[in-house]
Amino acid sequence: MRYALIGCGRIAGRHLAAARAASLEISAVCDPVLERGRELLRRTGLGESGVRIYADHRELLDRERPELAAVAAQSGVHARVALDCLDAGAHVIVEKPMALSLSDADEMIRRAGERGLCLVPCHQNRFNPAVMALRRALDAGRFGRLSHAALTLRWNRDDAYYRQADWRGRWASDGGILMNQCIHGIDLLRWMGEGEPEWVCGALARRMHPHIETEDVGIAAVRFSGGMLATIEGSGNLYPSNLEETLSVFGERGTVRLGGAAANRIEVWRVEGEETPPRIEPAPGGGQDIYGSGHLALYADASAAIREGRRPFITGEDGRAALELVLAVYRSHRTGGPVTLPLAGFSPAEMEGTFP
Amino acid sequence: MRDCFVHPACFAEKKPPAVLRSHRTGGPVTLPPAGFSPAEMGGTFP
Repeated sequence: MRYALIGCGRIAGRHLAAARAASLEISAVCDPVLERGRELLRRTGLGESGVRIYADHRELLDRERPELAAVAAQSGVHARVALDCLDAGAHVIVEKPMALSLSDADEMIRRAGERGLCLVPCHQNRFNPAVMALRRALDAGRFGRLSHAALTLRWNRDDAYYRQADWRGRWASDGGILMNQCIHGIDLLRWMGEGEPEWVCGALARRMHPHIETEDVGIAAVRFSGGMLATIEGSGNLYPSNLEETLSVFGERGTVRLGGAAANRIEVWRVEGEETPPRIEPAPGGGQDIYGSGHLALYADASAAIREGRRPFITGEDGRAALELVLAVYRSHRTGGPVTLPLAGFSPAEMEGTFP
Repeated sequence: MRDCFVHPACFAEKKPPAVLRSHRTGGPVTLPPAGFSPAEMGGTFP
């Protein structure tokens, strides 16, 4: 399957490694800064492999006609580039957030459906073995009724991180810690929740990075339609480095806490009738850093879904759902009150001026 | 100066956590809250 990668930044190496593992034919990469493309190919051992480099993704699509394209450019252009890929007839894997507005996400979903193409947002942490074990236990009803859940993302994103690229920490092109980093955990929280989020009240602050526009810490309370409650705490202000990402779920007959760098380890597993936690197979390639090993599984699933003509495990609707919850927290901060879901029409651009 | 929500004596003076009031009103509460007691939570969970 002919494959191309658009965007050669921080996460691009993960995409190429996963594409190789899925036996995709890597035909081209694209980045407005050609040197970044060259450096990526050198770094991943593809420097002499004949992979072509483009500065313009439309030219790449026109000349290479990839069957599958991955969009790993800056967040603010995910939607536009993904739509161009879909229009060119390519299935799409798109980094998170899949878009910055619900209207863009809706258009991506609509156009993929219309053309019979797969649209796969990179919420790859769903494939973490510990996460899958929790989901299986919930599906099997092992927890009984859920009381509440808690998501914490306690990472460090220092000034050097934000200075890597002008688009980071801007409302129109990125969003803050909840949109860029915490959205993975928010996806997991939503996936594990009983029912759908129906009420959100949140607060944001920019405490440590006065030169960025967006929040560097955010807190929210969430109520799901089934009645369960949840909290979200996302921060990039942890001294001196990443501390943890945890997801805790509390039910009638089960208490589980996933932790580690990115909710990729079982820290507590107390489930009625189970003496020991489920056995977790080591992730391929280790997978204990913040990115986990999920890109490998995501690519394997996406390419199999395309070949088999089925829906992928992670869908555009999943990506939209995570985006909606982040936007609900943003809107709650902006309006100073609770927000009910489903959310109609809101984008981070409306957050301009939040932290003058 | 903020009202205290933690010290038992404050509860005795009927200054309950703002969290309760926030749930009851369905929105944020600014501190210090004026005139609210846990008795007003009656019927919250029928």
